[in-house]
Amino acid sequence: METRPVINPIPPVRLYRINAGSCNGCDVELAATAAVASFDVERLGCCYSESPAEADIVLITGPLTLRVKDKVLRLHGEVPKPKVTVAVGVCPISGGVFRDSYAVAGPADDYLPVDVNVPGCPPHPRAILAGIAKAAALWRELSGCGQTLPEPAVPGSYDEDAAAPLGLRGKMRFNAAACVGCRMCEHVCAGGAIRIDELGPGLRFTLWHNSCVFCGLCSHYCPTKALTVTDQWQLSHFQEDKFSLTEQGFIPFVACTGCGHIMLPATPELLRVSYRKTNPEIERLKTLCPECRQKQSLGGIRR
Amino acid sequence: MIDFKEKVSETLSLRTGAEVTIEWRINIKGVMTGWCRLREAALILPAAEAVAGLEGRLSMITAYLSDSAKQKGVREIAFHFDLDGTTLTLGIELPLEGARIPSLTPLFRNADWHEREFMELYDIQVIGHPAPRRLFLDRSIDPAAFERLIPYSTFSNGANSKALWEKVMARSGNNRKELQ
Repeated sequence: METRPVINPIPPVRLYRINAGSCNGCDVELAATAAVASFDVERLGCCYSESPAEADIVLITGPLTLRVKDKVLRLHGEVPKPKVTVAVGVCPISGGVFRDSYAVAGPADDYLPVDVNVPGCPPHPRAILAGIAKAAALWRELSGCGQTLPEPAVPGSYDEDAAAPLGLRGKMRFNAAACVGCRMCEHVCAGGAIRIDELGPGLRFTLWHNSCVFCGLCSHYCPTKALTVTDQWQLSHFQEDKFSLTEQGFIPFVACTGCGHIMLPATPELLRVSYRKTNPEIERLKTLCPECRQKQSLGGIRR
Repeated sequence: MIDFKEKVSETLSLRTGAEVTIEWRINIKGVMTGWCRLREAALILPAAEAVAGLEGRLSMITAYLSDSAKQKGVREIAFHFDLDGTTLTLGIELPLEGARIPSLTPLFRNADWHEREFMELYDIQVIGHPAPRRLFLDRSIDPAAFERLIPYSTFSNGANSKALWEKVMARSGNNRKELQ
C-alpha cells in the first residue's frame, strides 16, 4: 500500500465570527470568504471555527448593541490568548450610521481590545481578506508560530494591486482646489464621516474613512465634484492608525479685490458648472465678494 | 361645494349646541381642508357624532405640547376627520394639569390606539374608554412619559460622535501647516 507523505502541515489559523448586532451586510461578505473560492480564507491558511475556545482570531461585525454587549464580551473572553480581534465594517469601528443611538453601546474598542480594522459598509471581501491577513500575521507573531503565510493561490486575490470590480464604490477622494465650501457633503453624509471646520485662514475639510459607508452621497451632491468615489477598496489597517485614517484638505479664504473682505474662492470647477466657459469679465468678477459684485452690476458694466 | 361646507358647519353646530365656525382652505393642488377650534373638551363627543352622521371617518388624533401653548398655560389636541376625501381638523385647548377628554373609541374604533398612546405619553385622561390598557409602555412606568422623561437620544446628544471626532482631529496628523 502506498501512503502519501504529509506535506507541510501548518496548522490553520482559526477564525471565530461574532455578530454584535450587525445588519448582516458584513456577514454576507464574510460568508463570501467562506463560500466563494476566489475569496476563501483558506488561501491565507485560515479556517472558520465554530467554537470560541478553539479560535485564534475574532471577527466582530455590528455596532455592539446594548442588547448583545454582554454576550459578545463573554464570547470574546472565551477565545484563548493570544487572540487577535478584527473589527469588520465601520459599525464596530465607529458605530457607523448607528452611532449615538440609544441602543448602541459601541464602538467595540471601548469594551475590548481591537487590533485590526476593516472599514466599509460593507467592506469588499478582498478588504476583509486583507484585514484577516494582517490579523493572521500578527497572531503568528504573538503566538510564536513563526511560519509565514502561504502565498495566495491566485496572485492578487487580496493584494492592493488587484483590479477592482467595475462600479465598486471605495474610498472617497477630496480635491480641495475644486471645493466651494458649500458644506452639502457634511449635511448629506449618512455616516457622519465629514466635518468642515472654519479656521482663521480658511476651511478645513476632514473625512474619516472609519465612519464612511461608501454611499457616495457626498459626491452625488457635490456641485463641483470636489469629492469623487474611487475604487480603492483596501482600507484595512492596524488599530494604531484608526483615528488618523482621514482625507483632509484646506480651502484658503481669499480677499475681495474690491473691499478686502475675506471670502471663499470661486473655483474654476464652479465657473465651469455655472458658465461652461469663462471670459475676462467673469474672471474679473470672480475676485469680488457678492456685495461688490452687486454694486458693480448696479453701476453697469464698465468695458 | 358651498352646500357641503354649510352642511358640515350646520350639523356640527346643531349637535354641539354651539356656534361652530370652520375655516376652509384650498391648497395649490385644489385639495380642501377644514380647520376648526372647539371651545371645550366635552364638545368633541357630539362633534364626532356629527361627523359620524355625515359618514365621516376618524383619521387620527394628535396630542401635542408646543412651547407657545405651554407659555399660555395650555396644551392642545387635534382630531383629524375625513369627510369623503376632505380633512377636517378639530382642535381643542386643554389645561396643562388635569386635562380630561371624552373617548371616541365607542364611536370610531380606530381611536383606541391614539387614545391609549396619548394617555401614556401626555398627562391627559380619557373618559369612557372601554379598555384603557397600556399601548407601548410597561405598566411599571408612570404615564405622561413625554412630559417627565428626556429621550436617551437627546440625553446622549451625540456625545459618542464628539468624543470620536476629538480623537480623529487630534491624531489625523494633519493639523495643517497652513495654520502655522
